[in-house]
Amino acid sequence: MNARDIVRELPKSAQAWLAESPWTRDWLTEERHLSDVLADPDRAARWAVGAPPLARDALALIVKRFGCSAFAEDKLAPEGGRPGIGWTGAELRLAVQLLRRDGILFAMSRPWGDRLLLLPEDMYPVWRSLLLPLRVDPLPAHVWMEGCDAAAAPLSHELICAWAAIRRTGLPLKASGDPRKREAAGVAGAMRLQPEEIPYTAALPAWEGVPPTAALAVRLGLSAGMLRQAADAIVAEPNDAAKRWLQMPAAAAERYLLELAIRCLLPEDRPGVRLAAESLRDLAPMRWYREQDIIAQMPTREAAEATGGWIRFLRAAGWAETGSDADGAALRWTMAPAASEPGETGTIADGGRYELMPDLEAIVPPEVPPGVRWELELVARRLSEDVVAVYRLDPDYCRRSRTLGLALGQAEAILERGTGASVPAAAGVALRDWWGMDRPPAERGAWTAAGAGDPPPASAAADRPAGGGDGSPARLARGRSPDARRVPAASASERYVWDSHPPLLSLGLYPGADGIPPGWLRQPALYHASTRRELVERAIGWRAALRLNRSGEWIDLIPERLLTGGEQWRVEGRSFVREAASGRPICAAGTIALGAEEIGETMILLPGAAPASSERPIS
Amino acid sequence: MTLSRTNAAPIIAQSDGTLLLDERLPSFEEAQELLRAIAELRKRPGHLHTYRITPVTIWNAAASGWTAGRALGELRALSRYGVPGALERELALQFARYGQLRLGMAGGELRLTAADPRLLADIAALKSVSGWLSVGRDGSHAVVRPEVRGWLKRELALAGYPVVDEAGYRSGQPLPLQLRGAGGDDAGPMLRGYQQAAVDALLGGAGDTGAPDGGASAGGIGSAAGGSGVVVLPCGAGKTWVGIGALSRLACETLILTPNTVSVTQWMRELRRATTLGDEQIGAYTGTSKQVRPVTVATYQVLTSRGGEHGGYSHWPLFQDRNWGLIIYDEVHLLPAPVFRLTADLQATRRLGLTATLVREDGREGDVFALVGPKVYEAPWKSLEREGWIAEASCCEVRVPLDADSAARYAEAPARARSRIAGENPRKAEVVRALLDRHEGEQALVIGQYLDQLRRVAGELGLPLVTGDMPHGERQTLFDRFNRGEIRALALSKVANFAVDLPDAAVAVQISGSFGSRQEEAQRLGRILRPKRGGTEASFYSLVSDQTDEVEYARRRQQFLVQQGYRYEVSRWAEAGADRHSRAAAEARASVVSAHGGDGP
Repeated sequence: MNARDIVRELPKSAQAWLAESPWTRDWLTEERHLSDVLADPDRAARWAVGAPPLARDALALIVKRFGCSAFAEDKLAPEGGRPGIGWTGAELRLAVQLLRRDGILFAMSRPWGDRLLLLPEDMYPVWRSLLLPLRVDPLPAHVWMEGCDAAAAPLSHELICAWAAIRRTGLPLKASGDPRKREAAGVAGAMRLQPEEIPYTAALPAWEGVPPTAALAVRLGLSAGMLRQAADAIVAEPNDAAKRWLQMPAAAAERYLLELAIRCLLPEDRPGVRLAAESLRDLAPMRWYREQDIIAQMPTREAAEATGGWIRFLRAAGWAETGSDADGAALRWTMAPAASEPGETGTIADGGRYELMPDLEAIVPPEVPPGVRWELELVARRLSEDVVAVYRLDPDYCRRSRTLGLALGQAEAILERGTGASVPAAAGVALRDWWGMDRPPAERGAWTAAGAGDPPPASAAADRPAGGGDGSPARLARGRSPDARRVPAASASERYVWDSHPPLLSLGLYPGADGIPPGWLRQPALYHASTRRELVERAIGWRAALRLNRSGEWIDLIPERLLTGGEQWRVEGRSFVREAASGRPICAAGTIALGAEEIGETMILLPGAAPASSERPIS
Repeated sequence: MTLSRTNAAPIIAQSDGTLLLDERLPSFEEAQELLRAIAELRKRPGHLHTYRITPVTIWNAAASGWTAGRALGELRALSRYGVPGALERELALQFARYGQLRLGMAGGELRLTAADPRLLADIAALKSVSGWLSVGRDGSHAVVRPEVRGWLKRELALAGYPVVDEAGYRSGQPLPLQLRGAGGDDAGPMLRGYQQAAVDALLGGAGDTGAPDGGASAGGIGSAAGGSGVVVLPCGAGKTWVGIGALSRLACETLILTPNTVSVTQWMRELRRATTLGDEQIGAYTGTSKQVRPVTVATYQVLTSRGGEHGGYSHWPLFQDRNWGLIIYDEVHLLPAPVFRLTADLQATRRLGLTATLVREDGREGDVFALVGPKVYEAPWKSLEREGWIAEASCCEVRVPLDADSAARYAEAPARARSRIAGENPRKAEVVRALLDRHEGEQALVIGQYLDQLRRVAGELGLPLVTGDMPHGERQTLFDRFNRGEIRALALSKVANFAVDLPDAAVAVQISGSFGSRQEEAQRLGRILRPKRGGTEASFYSLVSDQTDEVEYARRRQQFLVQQGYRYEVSRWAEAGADRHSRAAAEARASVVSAHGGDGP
């Protein structure tokens, strides 16, 4: 779920305290609303530089461990009491509150009582890029791979062909909700993508007898809004979002698909896979990188293990080239995966047009927006796909489009829009032949200009409204709607309640802290053994650190457990010092155990509770 | 994708080796020079020309002195979207492979040597060639059976290993001759520039006769092809002269193979006219004549005729009868399969293939490359037209409606019978009449596929008809009368698809054809491409039955010519009076109106 969607669902009261955050209020203007600010990558960049190290580290940990999947807060705490990134559990708890305050992390409750935290999906790549950048040196510019594989067509080209096949023939659904095999095979046949090139097919709808490539096309088509489920068929009817995508410059459209593929194809329960996919976007386009260098720099082991699989998909999707030489495998992006390039062009007005040759072949350069191809597919068959695609005006395609209601004038208009010129004589003659040969029914001219060449639905069923409206009708996945797997979905407000309470930045964050003597938190002091034990137990409960004196030596300790034996007890934990600049704890590699009698003056280091904690002794 | 775009760069390089060249951009000529060197032109239907890099084109470039670095550097500089990695790799790989294997004579043996002995071992392990090689004890060379020289090169080329053939050719029996000058005297060579360039591309630079002991390696492409190859020139551009040029350069006994007896006659006439050869030195080897002379012109048909039901090819000894130094395959795209096989055994003899359309409807262009040789020279049709070497031609497809009876039969006929009904549309006769009226004073050919139709049209219009049944002498008489202007128009069956030399024919009306045959369409246009006196334009009409399958067949037939840059205007036949604005309606009983101005009656 995106930041804007979340803000829209938040109660006014929550929006009010979010607007007061020191990292938010200065960005708000009359034109820039809260949702704009919280989704603003520039503001995120400023935050990443200036926010407290605790909050930054906590966010990095969230990105690494959970991505944009919802998670319970206790999963963030150091496992088994051991610090994952140095900060104590109590500090991380505070960090969560800071992140909520700054509109970075949101909390929600489920009807049965779970409380989950969530990073907005659209901000996940932003934070990943800011906090966990992949730093790998490219190979020298002159290096090229001896074993460079042939380039594949960009995924948008494949999908346009698949979706156009659905437009021509429809994709009828059986009573079971599965697409009919024959038409599904036709969809797969329109693509050159091979099933083995699709990673993590478990993320695709489990339709019996449907090739994974067709399932992928449907999955992405529904998510992108190019397809819609009608009562008994999947039909190609771009919604407003898809129409915007169709008009995008080619590079931007491809990048949008890359982001969509990351969201749709990667398993939600394996955030490391998504982390790998996102991290690869940090590599500069058109530069070769050694695969082993990339893997070595991945933020997590799971991400490192997932890297190879995702690279294979990138190659199959035409977004990257791969190759190898004596020193190993390498890849290079053939698109700008992260941000728009200054030279990106491709709107029709900007010259993103194709050439229609007298031999009826259309030469379609890569900068042509997807919408132009989408229209061209009505009248032409793709012959080849490489740096440029070659289409040929095709009598069968034209006749089929004609039976769907495409008029001759509309076909000519498609070619004129796509080429920016009048239809060449030979093409005009061919079109007239194909529109006139079989004495078609009266040309209905039913296609609206708004559809930019979209024909009427292939099935009468298409006119019937479908459930969902977000391209994720439940019937498609037999109760497992592709998009509904994500939480919260567009209708999440029914299933989740956003936590509208303001962040707790006081001792109230730690249960019972208000009831203990304030001195326990302010300065070290000598206590009775039983009180000392209580201090230790409280610290373990809050996952906080202790400062204690052992034979004149001050030790900061993160207690992990209390070992008891009769009247005796010992505390086992990990000592640490703090980094001078950031205050980040640097823990000892091993644990130490202190007996009750060894512990002198003691205090609990509860974050936010003791200003004196900055006057810490350095051991 | 969309990166590294250089808008003004004229080449679009694709990973499969296809290169598109935009003739509208400023660096076009520079890019064209590059692509001529490293790729071959596939088509040029508009301002985007399609070239293709193949292993053979790279090997040819390497043979001409190009390196991978230079080719890649220039290609990068001129490519709009950069050079895909796969193409870079292919270029480097194929450049590196050229020159690794060499075939030569040593110690009286034909030997294959490799720059790297391991490569030789790999080659010897290839199943397809292992039986032909015997690797020497020291592993430095392999002895090759002389009779498999052609097959070995073919198989190794197919496996991606080009062989530089330095074993040379037999020079053949010397045959002193000279080219006559343009005026018929002995003033010197009379080849046009492109014809001379084609001969040079085949045999190397001027003066290089390609001696048996390695001289064939000189001359760029000639060395890669081993002094053999195919020259592609448009119809009417004088392919015969290229053959005669090669013959005179090599000055050796030569066997010329042609598709039919008309062609035999024409070759013999040209040889007499253009060279100092005497009649006693030129022989015809056909069904009716078996003259084996220093220069012998034979037909494919006689070579492939068998002696009896189970007999062998009784005329194949012709290949061994004399010490031929050169074999010329005229209209090589028609080369029959048995001659392919025989050609494989003739690798010690230089081979020259001539054609206007290196398009085989059976898809065996690869065999032409492997056994006759690669394409060594091609002149685009439109280039020669611009330079005035062939006539400018306007092409027009005329849509003719079926009459009521034919339309009814067409509608009821099974699919396989429809094209004939459409092709024989009786109304085409009135269109032919109108076109002949329109081109009054110009000499015209009416060409068709179906004899019944041709007889009917010829009968209605009073045209002499030439078919395959007509004795050769009669046929030639008619051609001669046509050439003298005594006959204004001829009706021709498909026997006239090739090698009919009627230089003054300025109008061709194709009334039916062989389904979607691209080469037939091109060859028929070729009948009228000889430059005309006063630079008159030639006119080619293809009559197509409207609203029938013939329309799509016609579109396919036209593909080759369209890809060469020709444009077809599509017009619709209208009866007199149906269209008051039709110019022809006022001129004749019937007219042709533009399909663009108004779609018919």
